[in-house]
Amino acid sequence: MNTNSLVVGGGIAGIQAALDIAEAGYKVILVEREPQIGGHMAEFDKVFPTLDSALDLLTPKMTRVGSHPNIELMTSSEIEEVSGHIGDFKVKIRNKARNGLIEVSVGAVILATGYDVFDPSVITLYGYKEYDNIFTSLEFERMCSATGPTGGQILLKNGKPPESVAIIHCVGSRDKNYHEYCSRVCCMYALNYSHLIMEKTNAQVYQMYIDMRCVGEGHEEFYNRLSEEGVNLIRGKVAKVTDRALTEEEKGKLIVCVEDTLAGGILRVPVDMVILCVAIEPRADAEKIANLFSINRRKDGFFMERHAMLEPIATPVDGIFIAGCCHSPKDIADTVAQAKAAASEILILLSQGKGLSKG
Amino acid sequence: MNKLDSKLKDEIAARSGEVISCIQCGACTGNCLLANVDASFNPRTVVHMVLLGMRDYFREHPEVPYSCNICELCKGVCPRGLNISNLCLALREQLVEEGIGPLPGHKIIQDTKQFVQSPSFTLTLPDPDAAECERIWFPGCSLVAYSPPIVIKVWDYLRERLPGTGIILRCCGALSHSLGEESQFQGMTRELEEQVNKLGASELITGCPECYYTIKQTTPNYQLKGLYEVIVENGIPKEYKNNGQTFSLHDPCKTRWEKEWHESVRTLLTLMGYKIEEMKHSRELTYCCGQGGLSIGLNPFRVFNVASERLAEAHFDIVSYCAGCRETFSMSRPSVHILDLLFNPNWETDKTKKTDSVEVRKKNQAALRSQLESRQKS
Repeated sequence: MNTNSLVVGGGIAGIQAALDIAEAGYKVILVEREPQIGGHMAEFDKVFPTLDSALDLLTPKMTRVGSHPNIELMTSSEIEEVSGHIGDFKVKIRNKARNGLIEVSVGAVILATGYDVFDPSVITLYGYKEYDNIFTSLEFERMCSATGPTGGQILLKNGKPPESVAIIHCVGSRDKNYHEYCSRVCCMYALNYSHLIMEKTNAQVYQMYIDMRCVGEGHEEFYNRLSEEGVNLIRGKVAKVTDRALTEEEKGKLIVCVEDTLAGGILRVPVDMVILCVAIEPRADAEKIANLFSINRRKDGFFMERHAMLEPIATPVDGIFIAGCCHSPKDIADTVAQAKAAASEILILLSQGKGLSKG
Repeated sequence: MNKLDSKLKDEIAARSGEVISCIQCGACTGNCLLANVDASFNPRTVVHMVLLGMRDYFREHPEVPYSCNICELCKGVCPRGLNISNLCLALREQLVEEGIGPLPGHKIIQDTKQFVQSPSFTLTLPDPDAAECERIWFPGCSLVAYSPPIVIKVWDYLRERLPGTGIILRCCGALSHSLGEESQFQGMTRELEEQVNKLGASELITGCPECYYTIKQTTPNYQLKGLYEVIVENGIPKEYKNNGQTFSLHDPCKTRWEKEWHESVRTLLTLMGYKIEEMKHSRELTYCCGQGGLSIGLNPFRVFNVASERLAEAHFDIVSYCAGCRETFSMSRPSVHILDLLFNPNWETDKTKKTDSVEVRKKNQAALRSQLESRQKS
């Protein structure tokens, strides 16, 4: 009768799920492959739409995870083998730091392994890694964060702040050539970056977008706020970024070429810095994890839920649940909600008093 | 105000074979070389008007679908994978059926078409030195107009390395297809197939990207092969003259999707000892030279503006593998066809030769035909 659970992944989803189960009085093993927990959220500066500091939100939870009597935290650890069934999963975990292998026995599992981002080098027309000062969203997040490489300053490679920044939407998303799905969070973080850039520098900010997707709580209001703060919105999917200057004022700049589909006409917008809103992708080892736990992946590569509407947290395998971006791209608020839902699924099983076995 | 006819999109979808799915993002127009040079052409708005069924707009502005270079760069960058070139071809077919197309500006093209489809040009010959004819050398019309000696040298080369190679001089139908004359095109396709079958051949080799692209669409009952792949397989002719210079390599738009063509040409150039400058827009992302889609019929100056934009990425002399592209670039930059490098001992002087007049080209085409016919008789 095994009332222990396993949470795989120590980002905000895994942290929240582990805390909820632990608070209910049950033991949780939290496995994280990096040396520290916090996941991608620990890399962020301020988060939309409230502009809270990510670390202010995260560190109390991280501390609680580290000190909670019901949570056994294993960092620098990876799942190596899984067998068994609901109520009695046998999981072998390798500690990479000490190269030790231990086996644990748990009744249920939550996968909260998070996401990777699309590598935009394949879109040669955008010049990523070919020209300086073109960054992915995650790279820019890191730059904005006080714990990042520039101590939170927004700087060009030459050490100066930019006078103009272009934020390009839908890089690898909504695109049959790469990922057909929408990555959901980029319109919001693009607005967020616009705010952060205008707060920290005097730069003109341009957003080249196809649609503005602001559906969550406080999101449309955040969009209105940014319109008032003076972000320049150009509706068009960027054709290319070039360094080939045609005029004096374009010299030394990155020129973003895009059709302005609203005013009509092809624009050349010279900027100092380009930020690419890259698609959220499944983790590179998503297939390996899916195979280890015998769960399915959807066509888009993310872990498959049991039913898109009625069972979004369960998987076809009893006792294995998914939460956060490993299921599909989503923001922090929705991730926390899913993490709490996953914990709730397990607590339902436990409260049936049969110790995590079915029937 | 435009009346909206919801049937238009279904008609165009059926004609083109495209699933017309569009989020109006503007990637097509942003990337389109023609749209960048001429603001009156906008692929995104063409799709928009087809979807909403603005039939009258196309009747009043038939030059819009006829301006497209049919280069398919839009398909390469479209997040829904839409091929707007195919939509423009479908609109042309529609305009022809309604009696609006082809347009007055197409007169010279019509004359050219009439000539290359006439007995003054067409010719079918088996391999004089072989009993069986397994394959055909199909030079197309542009290469013949450019250089009859190269056409003959290629035939000699093929017959030497691959005995049993006949030759067919004929229009592949591209001119009819591009004008939107669909039934005429189907007739020409049938006739070409007849000629190939008459010789008993199972394979047709061409070095012309336009012929390859056009014939491939008709799903012929014979194999279609690119000439440059054949030369890679059978060896470079020993007589080629090399000076080891650097060329900017232009990939013609009609073989945009044919990786084999891209690779074979690069292999040949490297084997011959040339250095290649790869332009930013190459292979699947290549730019049209400007002549594509018979756009020249409507606005010759625009063709050269497109060509200049294309050439802005090139720092050296141009090498290409389409006679049409070579012709367009030759007006402003030394340009060679890869077959010049392989078969023309005078290519270094010829590279500065500008394109010939329509009369000279026609003369070349007629002369080659007579030459081949009399060779056969002797």
